[in-house]
Amino acid sequence: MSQALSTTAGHLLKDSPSVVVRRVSPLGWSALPAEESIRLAKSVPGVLHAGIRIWGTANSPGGPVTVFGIDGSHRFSGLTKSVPLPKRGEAVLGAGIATGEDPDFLKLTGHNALIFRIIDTLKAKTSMVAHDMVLVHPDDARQLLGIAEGYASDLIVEVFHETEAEAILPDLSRAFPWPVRMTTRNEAAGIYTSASARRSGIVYITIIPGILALALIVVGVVKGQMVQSCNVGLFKALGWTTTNIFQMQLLKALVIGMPAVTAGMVVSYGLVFRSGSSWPGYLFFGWNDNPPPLFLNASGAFLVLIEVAVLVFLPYLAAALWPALQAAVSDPQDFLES
Amino acid sequence: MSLSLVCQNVSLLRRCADGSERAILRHVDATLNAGEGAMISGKTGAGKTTLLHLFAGLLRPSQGQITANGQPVSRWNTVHRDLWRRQVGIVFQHPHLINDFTVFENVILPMIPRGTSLRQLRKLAWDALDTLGISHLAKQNVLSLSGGEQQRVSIARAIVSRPAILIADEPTAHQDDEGAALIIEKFAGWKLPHTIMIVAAHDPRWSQYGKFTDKHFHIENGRLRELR
Repeated sequence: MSQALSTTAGHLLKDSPSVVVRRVSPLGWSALPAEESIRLAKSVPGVLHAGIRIWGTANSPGGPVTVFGIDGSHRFSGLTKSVPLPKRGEAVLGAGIATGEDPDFLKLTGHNALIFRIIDTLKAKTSMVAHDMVLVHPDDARQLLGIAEGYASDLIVEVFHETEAEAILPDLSRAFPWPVRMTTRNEAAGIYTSASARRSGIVYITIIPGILALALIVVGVVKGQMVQSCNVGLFKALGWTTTNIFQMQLLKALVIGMPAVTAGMVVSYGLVFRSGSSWPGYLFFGWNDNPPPLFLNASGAFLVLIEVAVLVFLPYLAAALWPALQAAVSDPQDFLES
Repeated sequence: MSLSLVCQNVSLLRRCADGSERAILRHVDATLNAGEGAMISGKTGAGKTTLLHLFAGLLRPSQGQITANGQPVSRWNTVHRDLWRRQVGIVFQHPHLINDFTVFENVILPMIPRGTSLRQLRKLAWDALDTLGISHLAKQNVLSLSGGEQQRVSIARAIVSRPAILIADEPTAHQDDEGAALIIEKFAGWKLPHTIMIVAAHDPRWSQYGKFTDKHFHIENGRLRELR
């Protein structure tokens, strides 16, 4: 699941700006002048493009939401390519927004109170970053958030290559006459990754009993096989070769092991990637509603398969095949006497 | 070339709990030819079972060798010995049946890895069961059988593959007179020009009931001598 979380974060954040610049103030942050900020940013060598964003938080009937003002000039293609751009008085909602009594309208309260007609909902797969997002026209966003004409919430900067983002930060910082805080795309992705890693650590604690259970299963299988090692000697005495015995033990192990591993994989996949499975999110991450659908990364899933194989399946197979391995180097008499 | 099984100066040593070595068999020489039925007698602990297991390829001698048709099978590697063992049918002193299996399933065990068709496998199994008079027990679990019945299942399992060498360790030990007579008679009947049969027994009924024995060996303190 943690692997799927970071994959999903990386997938969604690849469309985010190279650098986000915010003007900081003693109270937190303050709006920055749009035209001047763009001009100053573009004066820094290495900057390909600079633009502004208008966003902030407002209250909805279901709680705080993130309001984003977008028009054709904004680059949220990953989020918005499947939905129409909102006009004045219209809104596009993230999957987690509760609309209140009327499902067609949403009332938001910020610096001012506005009622929006809901025209569409963002794709569920964007939920990880847009779960609580409301997209509105930029003018509505200004009005709602109290941002004056000609000002913006933050500035976005694009560079030619991702590695340049870190390099231009000192120049970018010096270019502005007010204090700024800058976040690169890598930092944004790192926030998700580190959060995911922290959660993974917690999850591993819950896995420890599972590992102990596995160890007990392996010990049980080994002991059971030792009891049956007499049968291995008998089979050899009756004309079975080591290969025959190995094949039989392998078949026995696979008949039990493969359905178990497959069922485990299917259940895990269902819990992580299929919607409607709310309890893992609640249990492991404290989410109060359905977790956002996540992206399945083929190479990541393959790594997980290898992890499962190394941690679970191989020890089980080794335990099951132990008598056959012993049979390869022993006389049948040794088993018959055991 | 007819089959022959030869023991050449075979000794077997076993390590005791105190670390010393004890000779179970000492310098055993014996030659068995196709068409012969050999009886090995001797007291309990004399080494009869060990000698049978050496003949069956279940053990390797500490000294000397066992040859089959001149080939030193006791020196072969595990893979070749595993395959050679398919020529041998063995009846253990204890039946050594798989308790979870039925009589029929136990009897077909030697045939499973040999690629025999299912039809042929069933025919061979029913033939073996009929021969021993235990067809009616085919579907029963072996745990529900008496000692004598289990022993007959063990014999059926040994003969199902029509082995060239049949080795039996006290095959009449748990049989009443009627059962012993049947088994001894069958063993005498199974003697064919191309087979070697070796039976270890101290049951006097073998000399009483049948005409099985062509060679009689006696073993005492690990030493083998031929009586006739």
